[in-house]
Amino acid sequence: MCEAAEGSTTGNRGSSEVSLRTMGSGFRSREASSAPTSGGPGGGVVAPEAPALSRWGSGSPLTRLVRQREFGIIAVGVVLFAVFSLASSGTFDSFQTWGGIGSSAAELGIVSVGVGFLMISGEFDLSVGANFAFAALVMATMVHDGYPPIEGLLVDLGIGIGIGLLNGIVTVFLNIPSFIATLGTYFLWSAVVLIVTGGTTITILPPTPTLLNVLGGFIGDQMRSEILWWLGIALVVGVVLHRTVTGNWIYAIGGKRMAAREAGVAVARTRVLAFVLCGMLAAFAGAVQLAHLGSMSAGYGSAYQLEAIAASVVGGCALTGGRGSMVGIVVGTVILQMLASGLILSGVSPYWYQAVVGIIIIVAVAMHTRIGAVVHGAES
Amino acid sequence: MRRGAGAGNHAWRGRGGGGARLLGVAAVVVALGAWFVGVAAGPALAASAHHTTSKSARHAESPRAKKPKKAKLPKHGKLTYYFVSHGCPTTTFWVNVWNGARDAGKQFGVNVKILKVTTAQCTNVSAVVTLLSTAIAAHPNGIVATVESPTAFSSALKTATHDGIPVVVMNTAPTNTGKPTATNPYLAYIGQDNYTAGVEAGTEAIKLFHLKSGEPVVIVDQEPTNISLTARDKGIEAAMGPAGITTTVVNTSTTVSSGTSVLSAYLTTHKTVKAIMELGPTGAQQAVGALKADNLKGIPIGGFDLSSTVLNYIKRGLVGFTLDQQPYLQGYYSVEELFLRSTVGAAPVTIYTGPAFLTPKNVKKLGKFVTLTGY
Repeated sequence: MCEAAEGSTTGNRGSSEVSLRTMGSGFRSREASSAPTSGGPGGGVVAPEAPALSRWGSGSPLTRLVRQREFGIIAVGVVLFAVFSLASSGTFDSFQTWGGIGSSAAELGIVSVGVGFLMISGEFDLSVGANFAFAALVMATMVHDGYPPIEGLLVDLGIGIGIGLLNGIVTVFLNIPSFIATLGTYFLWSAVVLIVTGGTTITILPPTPTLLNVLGGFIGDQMRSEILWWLGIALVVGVVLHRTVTGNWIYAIGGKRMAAREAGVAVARTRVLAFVLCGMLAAFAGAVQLAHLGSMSAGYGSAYQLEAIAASVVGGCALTGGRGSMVGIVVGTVILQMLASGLILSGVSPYWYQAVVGIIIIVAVAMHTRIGAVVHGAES
Repeated sequence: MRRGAGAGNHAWRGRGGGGARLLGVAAVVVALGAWFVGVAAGPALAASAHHTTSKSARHAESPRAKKPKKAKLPKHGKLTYYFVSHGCPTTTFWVNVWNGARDAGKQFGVNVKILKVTTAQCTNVSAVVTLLSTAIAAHPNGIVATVESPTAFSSALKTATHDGIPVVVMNTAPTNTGKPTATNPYLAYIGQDNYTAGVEAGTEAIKLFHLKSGEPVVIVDQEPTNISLTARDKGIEAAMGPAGITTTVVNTSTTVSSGTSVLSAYLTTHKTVKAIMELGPTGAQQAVGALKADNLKGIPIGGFDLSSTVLNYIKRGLVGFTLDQQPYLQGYYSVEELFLRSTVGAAPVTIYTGPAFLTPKNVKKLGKFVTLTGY
């Protein structure tokens, strides 16, 4: 991971510089605070300064705005929104359309928050799709069989945490690349879910339990509460990522793991923590989708692992780790979901959807790399 | 259940209808009409429909209207229908469905926009719900949908009804009979009753393969998450259970090769198996492949749906029978019903396009029709 980061583009070299800086602040705050992983008050104060420096830099407000790493991808989103609004003769920029986009973005988005967080620490989780279905199916079965829904949700989260913990332990302590380790657990959990359920779809017929309404019921006419859950989770994880010691360590580990270790970062523990968060959020997304659809089956999460990685990459997370932001991950998810609906409403043949997603991924990554190079070039 | 015709007859039996047989004949006639008469007769076909009230009569009459003349329809702009289904983009069955929908669109001069999930999303119901919501947001003149869950599509279907968009459900409905409910409102269902089809397949297999009490039968399920296949499976078990036949479901895979090796391994370790029931063309390919791999002979295969490969198997006697539900017609009728609803206000009615038995006995007679209708 380290070699890869050093050997690649200017943008990456720049980012390792950021990481070292942020890592340094994390290290300092560790000395200051006795409870480093919990992001104590010392870390909270010291940590934000370093990334803020490198990200904002100097210059006029406009230059500083353009230099924001998320600026490019937000601009792409705004352009796409404008194009789709014009091309769809008023059907795209309606509450009805955005209610639908919001729901699907929320379910993918909660998974993406975890996957993006993990990617910044330099790891992958390909098992999220299987985790999503397995945890939610157990919850669906429990609710269906008359257990209190809150118990179902706790078991769901427990399963997610367990799967994440297993992924983390396999990756960190058996020293297997996470791509391979989680590919393995993906197959494992996909099979387990079929063995346990025999492939049946579990349906929770109305009246819907209150908890499920809280997780995914309608608020207003078009929007579902799952959107709030998604944005709330993104906010909390975003604060952890950008404003705490743990967040700094995530960047440091993803940027330069050896250096981070030498600087005193608790590498193994933080990596496992990232896997656990990712697993828990995938399971929670499953619970939210169960609440939205009222049914769950082994196949429901099938495409999420790749879509979540795509959303994170579009949002600016580097495959090599150490780079990315929560705003980017959220915007990346919205762009992917916006494309699916926008193309249809603009009358473009749906065959183009995957092609456009492919092009957007390449354009976005090229753009992030260029912006990274410009930002850090200007500083040095 | 009344059997409308013998096993050797490619007749269609509607559930719960006196005119079921007439409907079956009409189905064949319309399918042939679609291909022989071609685009030129499209307006004529529609025109003849304009003057008749009985649906069956319309079907029987339309292909005879050979003179291509301008349709006398109420004025309307170019109509647009969205066709939303859970079908995998690469599945032959769905390619036939979409061909039917497209051909109907060409004939009636309407826009048919076919929305599909990506290959990776094939088992992902939420992706289909999103497509349906998007289709509703576009406010088209009508929507064709598949409903794979009793709850997931409920709010989308209610929104469509609220917005006054006519919805016809095809192929997969939330209830066995396809009857709309208050939670899942739509106008009509075009497809088959998969549970009843399963019961009939089970009954036919007992008779045709001379199965006796205590003999084990394998059911090959290539897509365990599909509720249509689960309904077929339950139907087979309901027919075979009382006869004392033991059934085991082997979950294979939507990929032919990997599913074949799973089944092959099962058959090697379970040598007493007396018959194989497959739930679709992919399962048929896996069953034939597994028997070949294990060099097993004399284990009969029966099952569901039709593809050119399955047709070939039946011709060669490798598969004993298949229950056809006519995917092409499901696509075609769905669009036709919406078109009639938009232009003359005809209320869409439920049509059962299957099941119909195809066996080595009638395959010669019916094979060419099957090829003609776009399999």
